[in-house]
Amino acid sequence: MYFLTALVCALVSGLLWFLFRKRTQLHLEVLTITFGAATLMWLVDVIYTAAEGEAPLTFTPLDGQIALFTVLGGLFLWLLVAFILNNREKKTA
Amino acid sequence: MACFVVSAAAAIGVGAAKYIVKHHEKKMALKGEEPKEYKFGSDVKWSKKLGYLEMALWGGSAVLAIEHLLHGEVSFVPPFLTAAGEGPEAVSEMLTEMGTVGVTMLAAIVTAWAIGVLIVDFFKFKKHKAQQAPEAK
Repeated sequence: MYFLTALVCALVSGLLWFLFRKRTQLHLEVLTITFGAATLMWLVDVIYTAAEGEAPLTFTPLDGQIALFTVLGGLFLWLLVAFILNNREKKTA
Repeated sequence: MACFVVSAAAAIGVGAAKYIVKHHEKKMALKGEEPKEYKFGSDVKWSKKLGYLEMALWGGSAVLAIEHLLHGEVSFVPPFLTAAGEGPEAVSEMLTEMGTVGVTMLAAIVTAWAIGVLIVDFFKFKKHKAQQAPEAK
């Protein structure tokens, strides 16, 4: 479930990055790259799980909790990195 | 079990490489030894390209670390990796997973990054050629 959530987040953030590409201060590339990388990593995990003969995608309450926390974690990381990068740009300007 | 550790370790290496490249680029710029003629891929600096790879590796590892934390495979107290305190069999299983799933994850991210860098360089090169064509006429 969290693989699908990360995939949706990567697509949405990628679309937002494209739409707001001129507003560089938003640093939406951080969000897109983070969720894109997580999607790719979970895709590998899904392939290995399927190769072992187990169910690759599960929809348990714990999976929902993980999906929620990973989205929140990704958003927090984006805010933190964007804050740092914007401050660094202000200092060098 | 701890497959994200491989990507996190690689991120540290890429971060170090990025700083070395950045230092070299600064040195070249100060000496005025920057390449004057346009070359394929010279539009975007290598330190920036490596920065994107570092971001992907850290971002992916951080998100996967949250998942592992909620699955109880990682903890905040030593030895941090739950399998490390469960005996040699669990450690062996963990290392096998890191060697297979973890390395494949790293390879997937590096491949995606390399493809992305090639695509961006190609479009920048095409744009440069298109700008040069009317000047030549």
